[in-house]
Order: sequence, then C-alpha cells, then structure tokens
Amino acid sequence: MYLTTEQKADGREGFRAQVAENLSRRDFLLGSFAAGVVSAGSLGAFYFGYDQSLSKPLRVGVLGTGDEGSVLIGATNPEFVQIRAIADIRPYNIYRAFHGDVYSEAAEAARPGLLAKYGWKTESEARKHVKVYDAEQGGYEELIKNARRDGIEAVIIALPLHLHAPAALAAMKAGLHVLTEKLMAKTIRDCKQMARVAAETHKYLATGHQRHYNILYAEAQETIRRGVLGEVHYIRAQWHRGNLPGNDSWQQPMPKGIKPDDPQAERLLKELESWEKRLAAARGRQIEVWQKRVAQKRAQIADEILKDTAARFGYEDARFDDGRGGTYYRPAAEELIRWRLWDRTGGGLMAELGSHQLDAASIFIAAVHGGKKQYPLSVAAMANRPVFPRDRDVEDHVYCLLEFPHPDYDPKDPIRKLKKIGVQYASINGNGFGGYGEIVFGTEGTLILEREKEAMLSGGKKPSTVAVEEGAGPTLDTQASGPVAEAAAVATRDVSRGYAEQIEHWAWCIRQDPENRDPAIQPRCHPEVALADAVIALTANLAARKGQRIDFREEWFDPASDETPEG
Amino acid sequence: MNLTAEHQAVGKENLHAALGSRALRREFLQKGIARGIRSKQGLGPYYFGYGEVNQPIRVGVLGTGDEGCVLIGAINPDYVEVKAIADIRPYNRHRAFHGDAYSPAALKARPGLMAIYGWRSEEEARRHVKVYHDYRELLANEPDIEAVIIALPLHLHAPAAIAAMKAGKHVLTEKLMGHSVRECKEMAQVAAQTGLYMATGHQRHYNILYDNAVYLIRSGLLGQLHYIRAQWHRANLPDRDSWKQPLPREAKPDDSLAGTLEEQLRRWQQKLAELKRIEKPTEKDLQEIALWERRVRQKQAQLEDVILASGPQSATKYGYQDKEIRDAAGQVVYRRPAIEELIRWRLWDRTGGGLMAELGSHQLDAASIFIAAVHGGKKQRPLSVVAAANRPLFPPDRDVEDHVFCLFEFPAPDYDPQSEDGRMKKIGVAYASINGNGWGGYGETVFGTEGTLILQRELEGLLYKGSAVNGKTRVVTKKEAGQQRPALETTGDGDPLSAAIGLQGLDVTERGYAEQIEHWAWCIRNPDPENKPRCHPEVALADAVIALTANRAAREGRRIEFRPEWFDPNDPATPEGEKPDPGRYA
Repeated sequence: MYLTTEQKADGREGFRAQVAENLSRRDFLLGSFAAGVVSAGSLGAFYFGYDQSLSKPLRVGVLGTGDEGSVLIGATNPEFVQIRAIADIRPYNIYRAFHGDVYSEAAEAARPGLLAKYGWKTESEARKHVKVYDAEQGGYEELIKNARRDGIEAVIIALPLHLHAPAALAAMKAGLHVLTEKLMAKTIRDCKQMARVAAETHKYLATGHQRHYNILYAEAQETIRRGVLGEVHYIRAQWHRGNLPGNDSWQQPMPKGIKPDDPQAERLLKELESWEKRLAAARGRQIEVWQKRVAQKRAQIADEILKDTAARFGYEDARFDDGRGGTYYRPAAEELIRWRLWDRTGGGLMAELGSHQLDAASIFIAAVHGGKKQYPLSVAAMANRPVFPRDRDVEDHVYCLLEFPHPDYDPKDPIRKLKKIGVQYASINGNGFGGYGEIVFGTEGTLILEREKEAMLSGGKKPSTVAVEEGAGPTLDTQASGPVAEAAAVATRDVSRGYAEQIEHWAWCIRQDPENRDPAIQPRCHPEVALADAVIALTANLAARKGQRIDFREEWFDPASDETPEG
Repeated sequence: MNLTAEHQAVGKENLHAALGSRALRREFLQKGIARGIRSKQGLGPYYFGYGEVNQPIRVGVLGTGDEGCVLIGAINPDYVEVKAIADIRPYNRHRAFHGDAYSPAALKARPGLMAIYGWRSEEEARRHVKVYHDYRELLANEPDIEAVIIALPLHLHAPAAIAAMKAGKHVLTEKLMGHSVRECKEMAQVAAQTGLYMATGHQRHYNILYDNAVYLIRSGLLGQLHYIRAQWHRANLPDRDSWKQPLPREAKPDDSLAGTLEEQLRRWQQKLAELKRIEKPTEKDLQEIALWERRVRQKQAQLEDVILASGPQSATKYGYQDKEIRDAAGQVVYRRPAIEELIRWRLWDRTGGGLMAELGSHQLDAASIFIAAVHGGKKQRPLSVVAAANRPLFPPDRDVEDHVFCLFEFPAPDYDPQSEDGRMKKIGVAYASINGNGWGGYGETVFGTEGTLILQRELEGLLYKGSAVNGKTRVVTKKEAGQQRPALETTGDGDPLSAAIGLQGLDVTERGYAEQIEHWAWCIRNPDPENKPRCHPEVALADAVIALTANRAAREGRRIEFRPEWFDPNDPATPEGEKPDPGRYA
C-alpha cells in the first residue's frame, strides 16, 4: 500500500521533472528564473504575477489573534502590509499577537508575533504603532467603527467561524477590504450575503484557503492539465490527527476559575508551576526562553477574566446531557476558548480541515476540464464520535464521498451519466497514522501531495525534451541541469504553504485597483471560489447529520441566487 | 501516507514481537511449536482446531474456471478426492486437468488435477474423474459423490447449491454466497432443512494472519478501535482488463479484442516451432519445449470455446442471453452475444455482482471480523451504508461500474441507539475498489487509539504504536482501572527474541484456501453441531447482505440503514424486498 524510500525519492524527482516541463512552457516565469532574479523569498510574486513590494503598504487591522490569527500575523510581509490595530477579547491572544507563541520552536516559527515581525523591542513600543481593541475597548466591532480614524484600509479576520460573516459585512460596509480565514462563513446564506456586499461595495473579499497560493498545488494542477497522469479518475484525501481525550488541540485547557470541575482545570497552574521551576534552574540563554514561556503561560491564565466578559460578547452558557447520566455544564468562556467544538461557533472537521482538501480536489478536477471550475454532483457522508465523550457538539470522525463530473459526463445519457470522478475523504482523530494529504489517481500515473509541503509523482507520461529557441540560450533538456531544472528545483524546494502569498496578493490587488472594478485583478480565492468551498464542506456536514446523500444544485454556487442547501 | 521499506520492516518486526511476546503468546503456538508442528506443515489445522480425516470426502467440482481451478489447486488429497468435474467451457475442462500454464504465477495458483493427484496423462486422470458439461447432469448421475465445490458464475450459486443439497450433497460455494439476499436465505434454509454442511469461500476466515490480527485486536493492544480503511486498487484499463477475457474471433467478429487469441496461438506456435528446430536441445531446451507445447495446447482449448457461440452446445442452451446496450438516442452501441455473457460473466448484472461482490465482500468480511473482535468476538451487523459507483474509464462494454466507494457505520462497544451520545459511538469503515490504477494495491488498515495494524494482500501484517512508523515496539502490561492489559511501548531495539518466536507462528504464505477446504471436509467427516465451517450460512449471508446492500445504496443513490431481519436466514425480509422461497427451485 506504500512507497519505498527509493520510490519516494524517484517520486519527488519525477514531479520536479514535470515542473521543469511546466515552467519551460511559461516564458515569463522561465525568464525570471533564468535571469536569476528569483530567490525563494520573492518567488510568490513572480509566480502568481504581482509586484515584489508595494510603494505604500496596506494599513490593516487584524480581527482575532488566536492560533490562526497569529499564524497570519507571522505570514505578513511588512513590504505589503502594515498592521495598525488588532482586536481580540482574550488577553492571551493579545499577548500572543505581540510576543508570538514560544510554546515550542515550531510554534514560534509559525507565530513569531508582531514584535519580532516589525522589530519592536517592547510591547509598549509596539503599542505605539498598533492600536489594541481588547474586551475593554469593545473588541472587533469597535476596531471596525474606528477604522477610518485609525487610518485602516482593510481587515484580516481570524475570529471564530460564526463571526466571519458579521465581521466581514460590517467591515465592508465601513469601507474596508477583507481577507477572512476559511471557512468563508458558517452558512451558505451568510457566504452569499458576504459575496453580494463585496460586489455592492466594490471591496475585495478574499478567503484564506491557502492552497490557492501554494506553488506545489499550482504545479500539480498544471501537470494534471497537461495530461501527465493520463485520465484522472479518482482522488483520495485524508487528515488523520492523533488527538485523544485530555490531549486535543481543539480543547485547550482553561484557567481554573472558568470551570473548576473541568478535567483539565489544574493543567495551566501545574504547567506554570513547573515552568517557573525550569526558569529558576535555567542558565545562560535558556533564562530568556523560560522567561518568555512563563510570561505566556501567565497571559493564558489571565484569560480567567473571560468568566465575566465572554457572555457580554455573545458567548453562551449551556447545559446538556453528558451521556453518562450527568449534565455537562459549558460556561460561555468555554464556548469562546474551544469554539471549534461547538455547532453555534464552529463547523467541525469539514469546515476546519476538509474544506481545504476538497478545495484542492476541486482544483485538480478543474484541471481535468482545462481549468474550468467544476462543482460536485453529489455527496454522501458520515460523521460520528467514537473517541471523545460528549464534551463537544462536533464529531471526531467524518467521512465523505463526492462525485464530480468527468469531462464526458452527461446526465441525460444512460451511458455517459456514469462518467464521474469519485473523491473519497476522511478526517479522523485518535490516530495520526498517514498524516494528511491528497492522492490523485490517473490511468498513467499517481500524484501524491503530503502536508502541503511535498509532491511525488509515480509513473506518468515522461516529460519531453524541451528545446529553447536560438538566442534564448543553449538547448535545454528538462532532465539535465540548466536554468529550467534549476527553476524547477527552486519551485519545489522549501515550499511555502501560501499564507504569505495570499496576503501579499490581496494587498497588491487592493493597491492595483482600489475600487475593485477590474475583473482581471482578483485574489485567487475570491468570493465565488470561497462560496463553492463552503457549499461543499457545509453540504457534506448536512449529508452526514441528516443521513442522506445530497445532490448538489448549481444555484447553491451562485452568489446571486437565494437558493441554499440549508433551505 | 506512505511507508518506506524501512518502515515496513519495522512494522513486520513489531507484529512478530507482539505475537511472540510473553503477554500475548498464544497457547497453541507455544504447544504447537513445542510439539514440533511447523508453519506450513500442519500448523494451520492446529490453529483452526481440526485434525486429519480417515477417508477423503468424495467431491464434484462445479465450475472449473479461474476460481474453480484455484480451489482445485488448494485441494489436499488427504482430505478431498475429486470424483467428477462439470463445466460447459472446453477451456475450463482443459484447465481443470492441466492447470494454467500461462505464467509461472498462474501455474502455481492453478496447477490442475493431474499435478495435485500425480496423474501423468489426461487419459489416466479421466479414469478417476468423470467429466460433465452441465452441472445438473453431474448431480443427477453421481450418487456416490458426497459433496460439491461450486465455482460457477454468481447467478448459479443458489440453483446449483440448492440442487446439490436436495441431492444430499454438502456444499462449499465460492463467494459471494448468492446473487441476492433472497437466494442466500434460500440456500441457508435448505442447508438447515437437509442438515448438510454449506460453507462459503471467504477465505480470510482461514487465513492465519487474519486470525492473529483478530486475536491482537481482541487483546486490546490497539487501544480503542475507531476506524478501518480498506481498498482494492487494480490497474485494469479498457481492453486490458482481467474481467474481460478475449473471445474466439468467430464468437464475435466485431469484438474489440477479436483476433487476440488467434494471434497469440500463432505466435506461440511459432515460438514452439523455433524451439523444436534446435538441433541438439539441452535439458533446459526440452523443458522449454514441453512448456510451450503445454501453452499451445491450452490456447487451442481456449479457442475451442467457440462451440458455445452457436449450435448444439450454444451458451443460450444453458440460459445465457444475448443483449443490446443503447444510448440516449436509442441507438445500439453494444451487442453482446450469449457466449460473452458466459465468458465475461463478472461484467454483467444478471450473472455477476460487480466489484462489491467479487472484491469488496472479502474485505468488508475482514472489517466485520475485526469489529466483532472489539465486541468480545460477537458478530456485529453494520448500521448503515452510503456508496457511490461510477464508470469513468470503461466504455459501455459491461453493466458493472469500474469504481465503487462506500462508507459503513458499525456499532462501537458503547453504541446505544437510545441515547443522543450513545448514537455517536460508531466505528466507520471506508472502502474503495477502483480500476485504472493499481497504486497502493489491496489491504486493510485498522486504526486504534494506541496502535495501527495494516494487512496487505492477505499475506503481510504491519503493526505500529499509533502513527510512529519509525518506532520499534515491545509489548508491556498496563494497569488500567484495576485491570491488566497489554500495550505497545516504543523501545530502541524492539524485542528480537519475541519477534523470533512470533515469526514461527506467522511464517505463512497461504491465503486460507487450503484450510477452508480441509476444515469443511473434516466437518463433513465429523458431523456435530459443534463442528461448523467458519464461514457457515449465517456468516456468509451477512457478508452478502453487506456487499449487495452497498451495491443497492450506490445504484439508488441513497443511504440505507441495515435491518436486523436481513441477517436472519429464517426471516422473510430482504433488502430487495422479495421473500425467500426455496420451493421455487424444484
């Protein structure tokens, strides 16, 4: 069922050779690569066709600076974006926005914080540049209200899912452009409303499905479009995570005061205690590391005030049967801190994880249709919760089967109506075996994408030898060294997951066409694309919950139509 | 998502170390090895708790095609004496005796009766084995035969099995048990009425690897089992399809593969002639000549199938049908003569059951065995299925789809339909059977909260602690809520001693065909309510319900909830709605 080491290495090499062939067919890219102008850092601008910097960076407010908001802060390029304000009602998130997340080296690399990003030495220095809308200041709503006064032109939204629509709508109505984290919104109705208001107000509204800005995915798409895999007939995608009760990335521990009987109630205090000991014992450079960690842990514990403030911002207490003869009490602050676990605030595995990968699948299937976006025909799904107790609304396993049209598909013909491409998806907890990625099955080859970082090709039509015309340089063989091969190596090495590029391109579009009049200048994940991704993810949820197969209707994908799968 | 060769080696060693560990070493493994019983030399019967038989059972084989010949190849003459065969295809009658010399792998799987029983010529063999065309004639004329092995096309399993049992013969039928749930129930009812043994050939029930996998799951080593993924990916492509064998040209001159057999024969005869021109042939040359003579003879036999195209032995005389496939405009786009329905029976709805019947049924059988293991061995029915089936690759030269995907829900041990929380306690099983790309091959992956177990090609097992594909492990005893249970622990060097012992019990290359026949024969010789083939009618019925309901869910485009009555052989309810009536075969 698996590849050997050699096959894996061959697979990477095989994909690189195809990328070389892809690039050789696109003169503008090849020219830039060959001229040596392109370093890995500015690759995105060349690749996706925008400038390497803006003469005037976009002035931005960040709404929501939690796990994901802090990743986006880490991905901002000061040449494109200047963060002027942040909003979050959690003290912990405001702290992390400035100082980053020093929990581990990987966390710090993903979430370096504003101080590191902009070279400010202290939080007070940073606060001179960045206005803070915490709970006391009224949170994101106040940031939007004061945006003009604060000189803000656009917002990045990384609030819990249920707030994407209200925040984006308010922002656009206040004259601000928007980049919102995925999923676009919690309901299709909200997505459509956002798309319409974007059109009416002529604001850019981009959604953070970052694979649209990942060069591996773009090259995979091009490779498929050229027919290297033969006929594509099946796609399998998965996201397996090892989360278990008591150790769940979506169920962070809370300060004890919020919920004294929570199974993890003692955890933060215990961690603080043990980290303070580590600090006392630390020597040399370790002292600073542990000082930072202790400070971060204290900031997390400062979230205790949410006990009083969360309800003021619309978060709700709830009590329900815990399935073990007792009652589960969820204070409003738990709904906020663990918002991914609750139906009212989140969208479960399909919204958080599945949407990305089905987005990727639909990109690949579009490539089979010469680049024309395709909508799925049907979805059947199942969702259940074998691993976690009833300390959440959402399921811990979701599986779905989607059918997309094959180029020969014709619903009216008894033979051609069977021409469909199947997509099988599974997102599970409890065992991370196999990790996450997508496999594209063609009649002549198999393309495997892993962790958004690696692409491997098994089989596939061999790349042709590409001759470059006289004067442009010596004749090139894509298999050999030379500018094309080098370019392919650059394009497939240290791949960016696309966070930085999606922000840069969005900012560039805004500067290029501030009134958003030119349909050619659009973020790659513009409202129609993001709406389609939301329709797929949310309809899969509906199919699972209702226990029925659902046939997609084209009107659901049309922002102008009032039809939605929710009815 | 992919395992390197090193990861695979680690996984195998982990599995062996677990099976050989002090905590999990099975009693019979200890005793069996102590008594000198070795893997491949009697350890299988020892595993499954059966012994030798004094006198082999006298058997007729109905259907000696691809699968029938595999079963013949799996026969142990100490248990089974083949007294007669029946097949309407000359090619199959030829292969029953001579085996399949197409390739070394084919010959290993299908050596033929002569090789199994040591007969030197077909003539000699025919003195022992009576040959029939129509299986009904065999049943009518062989009172001395005690039992039959059925490997006919799927639509004939029920009529043949029921006729055999009514003639007093025990039955081992290839899977799927029947073509519909109704048929399966009729077969089960007749078996109960006649008191005869009826076994179905889901061979994983006799695969030592699967038996050990079940044992490990049951021990709790994987923690809580929460997900199973299974797949069977095959590279078949239009006109390069193992289910679409070429026909003799005259049988269908406009077939896309017409002339293939004739061309092969011509080339093989040429090859043979070249070999025969060697002036001083070495021993090796003589062996080659013998092999190519054999191949030429086999190809000629395949061409003799043309007698089924028309005339007195026409396939239509045996109930096979002509058919036309039309497009949206009503134009005929494909014509299928009756002989094609016979030879390519897996491709047609009337005679076969598609990917779910042929491939999926085995693997969902395995999944339900694994899930039974987390319920203390108690067989579990699935709760629901959704499925999608389509045909992106193949032209309209068939009824069946070339891709089938399905999702099943099975109850977890804490499943409780009465409570909101209990309803969510389900184990998901995701299955895909595809054509067009064989990447990943076939196998099953069992996900537990503490371990992952992978079974590949029915022959290989890999074990990991969670997702740690690098980590060598050993088995330790863990105390939990006052109880002890085995758990995996990562260690630098693994547990080589245990691995060596575990390997003794798992050094197998058999998929279970031989053992299923032996055990069936042993049960027949040792009749007792305690002695039952492992895939007895109730088990086989459940496998058929699962596979056939998945087909239905795909074709009807809806989620289907399984009803407990469908699994009860004596209940008239079936997913297709037709009530069983064993009397209709009279």
